[in-house]
Amino acid sequence: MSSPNQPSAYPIWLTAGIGALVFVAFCSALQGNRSADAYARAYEDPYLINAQPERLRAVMASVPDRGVIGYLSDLDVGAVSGQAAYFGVMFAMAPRLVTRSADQAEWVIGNFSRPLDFAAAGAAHHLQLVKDCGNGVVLFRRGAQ
Amino acid sequence: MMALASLLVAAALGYCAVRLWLPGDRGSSPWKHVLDAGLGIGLGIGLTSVLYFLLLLAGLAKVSVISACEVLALCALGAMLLRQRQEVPPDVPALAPPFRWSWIAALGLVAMLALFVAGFSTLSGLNPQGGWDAFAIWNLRARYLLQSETWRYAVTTLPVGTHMEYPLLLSSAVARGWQYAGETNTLAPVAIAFLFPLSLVGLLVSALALKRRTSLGLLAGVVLLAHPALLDQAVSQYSDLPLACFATAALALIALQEEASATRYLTLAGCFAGLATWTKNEGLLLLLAVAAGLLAETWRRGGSGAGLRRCGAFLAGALPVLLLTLWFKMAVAPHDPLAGNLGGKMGETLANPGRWMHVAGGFLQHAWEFALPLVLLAAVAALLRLRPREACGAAVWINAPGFAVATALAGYVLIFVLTPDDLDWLLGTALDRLYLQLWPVLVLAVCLSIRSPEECGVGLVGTARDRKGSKGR
Repeated sequence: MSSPNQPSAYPIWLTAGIGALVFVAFCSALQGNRSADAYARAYEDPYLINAQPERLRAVMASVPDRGVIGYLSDLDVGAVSGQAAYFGVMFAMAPRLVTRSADQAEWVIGNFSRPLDFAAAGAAHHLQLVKDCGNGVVLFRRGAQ
Repeated sequence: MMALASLLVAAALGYCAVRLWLPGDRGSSPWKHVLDAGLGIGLGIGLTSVLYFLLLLAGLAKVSVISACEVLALCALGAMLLRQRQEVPPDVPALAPPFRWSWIAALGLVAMLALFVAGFSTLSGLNPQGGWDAFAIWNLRARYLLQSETWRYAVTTLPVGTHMEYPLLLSSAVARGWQYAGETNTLAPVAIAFLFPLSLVGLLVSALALKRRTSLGLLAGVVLLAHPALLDQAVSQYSDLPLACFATAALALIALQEEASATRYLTLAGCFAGLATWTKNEGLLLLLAVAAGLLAETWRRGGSGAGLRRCGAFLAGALPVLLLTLWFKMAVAPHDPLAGNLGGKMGETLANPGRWMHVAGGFLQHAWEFALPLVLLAAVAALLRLRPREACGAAVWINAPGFAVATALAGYVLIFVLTPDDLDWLLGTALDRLYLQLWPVLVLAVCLSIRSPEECGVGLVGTARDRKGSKGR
């Protein structure tokens, strides 16, 4: 056995193997980086989260800074599109708590994907339309005059 | 910029705490500072997050109070650190000269780190809100944690369709950053998401460099960064990388423990495991897995008495944050959906072989999707081969990280079998993140079990130092 301070000779397969491993690892990371980059460029803000604060600006100015707010939509909150729409509103409206129900809170946000009779949609939950903010965003209030 | 300042304060607090807690005679290797920094980032973010949550409960979560508490603590720890006597490291036995081709691994690691930083910067710029769970769970709840009046919304039982039962370390850390910044910007969560993987790489590489050899630590870093999901999960701002960081830190400290100061290493390891429980539900399982790994390893080496003593030190370190987690789970958080399935139908579910096969198939299928990093790790093990039994004192495969990975995987399988959620959906959305939680621990376990390149030199089987154990170098 060689002494601890004596320079060791390393077999060529060891050096070559480590070089090959590092090369493959780098290529793997590079490939992962490229595919993540391509995906991110193709689906920038895929759930439109960044767009919600501007879209909901008028509603935010009209409801209290805190408290529980209801939610009404034509999208099924069990489906991915409906969930994305709901969480987009919930995230933008926080620290207000937006629940999935339109039947309890005084203020209810309507978030619609297509034009329809918003007043009738609200009336089905005993809500009155307060403001149509455009772009599918509607503010309802329970018992509003 | 104040969000970055908040993280700087957290990291400095963590660094000072680690330097003060671990013994001062750990040698003069520069890797010691990398280890302290890697541990310090995670510890600092974790503990300041806990402090923030406690101040929030007390109605004192104002930036003036938070910063005053933290700056005072930093001054106190900094003064103690300056007064700490610099102990002279003990004589270190002569080592075999370093592997002369280590620069290949060092170059690879630097290049891959640069690639990670560039990729993280670009991807976070394209989508600063992160992935689904970032805006639907972690950062959403952080917004509720900004005010004492609204923090209970983060644990509401009202129908909101998200996981309000999850612990609050990451959300509290983000909220703390926003308090410093004075606004809910994207910089705070992005910066936190950036720091955890860096801390993870630093502590894994340095722990192996200190415990074994630099060349092996560098190779471990290269293999760790080869996992493509690391970048994906980091930019997604999920809590899986913080969890992986805490689990790896705990196991690295267990690996580095020295006979004379084992209690200090183990209590700090316990503290990291406690932080894991406050990060995500899986943290409780990881704490048990790490404790089981520690018990198995020390029992085998020193008998049941030593095993129980060391486990006691580990659990003592975990206790403060663990108590917070348990209080949160039992008194504050909504009912965990998984717990609802642990009733009458549990026996029926467990006795269903089709469900076990379904879960096993899902686990294997997802493991296959990450085949390349696993192949790379296996190739490193095949290239360097297992350490001889006399170099480790006992069977080489039984080390705490390896045991912890096996225990945690078994626990994950059981949870998937019992889950009330749609199994295919859960396998498709959660399994890659669960694997990533264990990936750095697996790399640590394998690298502790194999020879370093130096030991593969002609005529060398093991060095005196390696046989002796872990002294700073």
